[in-house]
Amino acid sequence: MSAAYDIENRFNRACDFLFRELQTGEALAVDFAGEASDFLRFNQGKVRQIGHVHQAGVQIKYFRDGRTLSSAFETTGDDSRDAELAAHALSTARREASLLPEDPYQTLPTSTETSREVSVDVGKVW
Amino acid sequence: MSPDLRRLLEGALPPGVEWAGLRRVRTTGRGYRAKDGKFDSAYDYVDEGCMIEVLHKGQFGYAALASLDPAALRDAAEKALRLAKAAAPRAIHAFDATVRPATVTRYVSPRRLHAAFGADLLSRHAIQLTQAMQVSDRIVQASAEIDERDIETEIVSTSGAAIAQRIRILGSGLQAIAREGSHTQLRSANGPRGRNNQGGWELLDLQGGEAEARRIAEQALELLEAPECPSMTADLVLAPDQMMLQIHESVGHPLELDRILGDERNYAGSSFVKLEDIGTLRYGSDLMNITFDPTIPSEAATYGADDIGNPASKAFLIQEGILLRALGSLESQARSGKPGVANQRAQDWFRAPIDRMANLNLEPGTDRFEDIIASIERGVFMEANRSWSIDDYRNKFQFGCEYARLIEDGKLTKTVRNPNYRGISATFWRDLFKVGDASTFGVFGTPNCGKGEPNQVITVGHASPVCAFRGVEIFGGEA
Repeated sequence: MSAAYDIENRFNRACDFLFRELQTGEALAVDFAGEASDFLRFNQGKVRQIGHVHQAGVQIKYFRDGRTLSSAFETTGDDSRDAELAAHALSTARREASLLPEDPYQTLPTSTETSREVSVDVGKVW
Repeated sequence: MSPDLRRLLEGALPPGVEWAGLRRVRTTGRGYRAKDGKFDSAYDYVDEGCMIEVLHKGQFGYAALASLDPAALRDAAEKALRLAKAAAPRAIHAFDATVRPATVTRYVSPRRLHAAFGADLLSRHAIQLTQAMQVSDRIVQASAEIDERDIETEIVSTSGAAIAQRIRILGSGLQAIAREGSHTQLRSANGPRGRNNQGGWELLDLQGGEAEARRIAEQALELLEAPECPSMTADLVLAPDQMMLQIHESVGHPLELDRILGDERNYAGSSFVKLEDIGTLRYGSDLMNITFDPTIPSEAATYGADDIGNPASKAFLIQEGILLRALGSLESQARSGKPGVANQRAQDWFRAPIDRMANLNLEPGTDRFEDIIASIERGVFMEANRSWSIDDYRNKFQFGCEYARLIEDGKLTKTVRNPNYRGISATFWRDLFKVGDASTFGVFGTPNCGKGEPNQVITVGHASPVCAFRGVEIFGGEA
């Protein structure tokens, strides 16, 4: 459970930071997807490749003055570094969005429903 | 090269590791989409992480993480070693460090224009392109896209590898859809996502783009009025933007050595090519010369070394129609005893490299385009891929194109719509009877090649001249 807990905490910390930094007139939608997975590739009943991947990425959609920009960054698990990455993503979004034409299809996020899905498959291969 | 990368690797290793490597990848990207004269979407991203790899008693284990923190790297190295130890008794092959050469090299995509275009210019340009395509109210959708990727890769190893590569890829696309009643036709710039090349913003034709956009829309309208492509067995001439798909599906995938070894059987599939075919199989006619070529500067998958550090150099896979080598990395070469190339590539820092296509090209011949057409009594000249289907042995295929013209008595005549053809990879290439000269050569690439479990989507390059094939089964949309 520790990896899933870590990933969810990264999401919550990234959201806390991003929404705290929002200025008047700005809106954000934040998505997050992460995994801590062991991968084994087999061929002929033998191991071809074996490894582990830990990744957790944040995708944001930034809205201001009728402009829309999607952005993404990867979290590291280090709070201060992740705050830097989030701050960089937000400042880049502000700068780039200000250069864009208006988004005629912009739909601001207004829903207040929440969802949460954590999938934990614990298994032992050997 | 990051000054700390080798020190970070050495500091992360548990005692007793035979060999270890660290690959760091940082990718930045941005893109702009327009549709029907309006802004559609824009994106901007940064992705950075690394993969540490260790060798234990013939088995590699890896661990990937988005951090260069020394403690996190130590954890990752221990995890990679633990996995390698667990798998070593059940390894498919006992590798040694020779499959991770101590290569020292640098590669940077060449650029003529170093300045970056801003989001304002690029999004406005995309909108203008879609406006230019609105030449008729029968154009029901016009879309344009511009994408930029900047990929930095560094590799270090305990045996001395030191590789730094920076690859910049620009992709662009245009598409017009025309409709009249229930009939719809699509025309694009060289097929779906076919324009991906290394270089700078000089690759984006700011001056000529709108004229091309209008031509594309006009050809979509022309297709609405055109008769169906006839069903017949006749000579087939393919433009480079369809040769890209023809090479990719019926040469590239079947020659992936890991696929021939069975690694991909349950997902991407197998191959009609067998190990014993390498060195002897007549794949095509004497005119067929297929190269793995990482030396064309503008081609999408040009690089100095692959993701296990094997230096890349040009090699003939098929020469004068005979299969000489497959798309096999050092690992697949060690497993099979067959010659290969530097093609063990990963989508990103969090995926393990496997055998992939890179730049896979058909070498130019000697025929001018006019002479190819003049040599054909009855045939079809097809451009730009629209659809593809091929079996999981990459043998029986059916491909569709966007735009075609009939060839009658040595001349290009009327435009026909819904052109398709089918064939069998193992024999199709033996009917190659004309190969265009350098003036017909086109360099294309796609970011969409998928393979592997977990899936990896990678950029490949394909360059080819115009080619002609004898006696192909051709059919239209009403067949």
